[in-house]
Amino acid sequence: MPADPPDRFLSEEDLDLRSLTWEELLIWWDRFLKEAQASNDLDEFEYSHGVFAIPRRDWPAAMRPPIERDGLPPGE
Amino acid sequence: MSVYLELTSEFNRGRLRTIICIGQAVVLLRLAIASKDGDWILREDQEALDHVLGELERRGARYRFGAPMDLRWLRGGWSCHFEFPHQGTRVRTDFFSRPPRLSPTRLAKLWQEQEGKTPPFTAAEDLLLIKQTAREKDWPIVGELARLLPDPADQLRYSRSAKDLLTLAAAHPELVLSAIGERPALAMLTAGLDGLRLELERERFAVMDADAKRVQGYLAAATGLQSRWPGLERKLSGLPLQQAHQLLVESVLVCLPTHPIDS
Repeated sequence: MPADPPDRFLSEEDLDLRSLTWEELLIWWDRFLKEAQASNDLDEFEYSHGVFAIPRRDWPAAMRPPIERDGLPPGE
Repeated sequence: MSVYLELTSEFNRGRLRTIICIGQAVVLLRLAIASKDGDWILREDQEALDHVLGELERRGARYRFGAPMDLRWLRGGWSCHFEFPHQGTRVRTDFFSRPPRLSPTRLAKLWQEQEGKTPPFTAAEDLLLIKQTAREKDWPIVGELARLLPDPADQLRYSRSAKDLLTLAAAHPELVLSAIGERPALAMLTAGLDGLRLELERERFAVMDADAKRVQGYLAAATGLQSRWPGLERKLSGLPLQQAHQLLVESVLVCLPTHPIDS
């Protein structure tokens, strides 16, 4: 009978960071930061941490730009 | 080298002023690379703030919507946020001096422990408390961080895995009673795997709700700043950061409370 698998929180790929040398980690880290720039337009108004760190759509309506609040660009 | 390590080195030139936390600390703990922004715990003294602000100015940083990097607001639990371009990338830097859910004692211990470390970053126990946010995506990290804790008593206090907790309780029955006192969800250790899983989820949602309430409190307190921000941002635009900082401080004195916001 197979052993009961442990609960998993992160992927094997994530946890494989432990097998990297420091130099390899720095390369992956840098590569990730460069690739992650592709989503800059999507998170322009987001805050990842600090006291504003909930999705912008959950901010009070008055604190969101019209384009997010109403689906319209400002002035339309 | 990661721009966040470069910045940390610049911020801490001569003395420890900042500690890497949250997403980039998760990388340094070798759990995942999942955040493109940098977050630091900032030492609460004027020299530290002046130095960090100077380094950010040298990088061409600008303020994003948020509190000024000023002791009055930092002591009130506010965070401040900056952005600058770097080699074709957008670098965002977030700072606070009172991380949520870290007691003053824990925070003082963290500063002591990180003295002389290169790079300085939050340890697993501190980080898992900070990561107990309203965001679903932080909780897998919390679960994995708990597995890094060397002390089984701490694992009992923080583990998110019902299977791990049942194994821990069987291996260390002497720790369970006192752990239940600190973490009532562990009373369901006797209810079996499903019962414990459900209780862990109830516990998690209660913590998430508390964090959402905390953030909503700060957002509500920031509505005055928000209404002034578009005009203020135009005035700050193009100014050297330290000059922009002075203007921001003068402007927010009338619209952003400095006291901690009760949730």
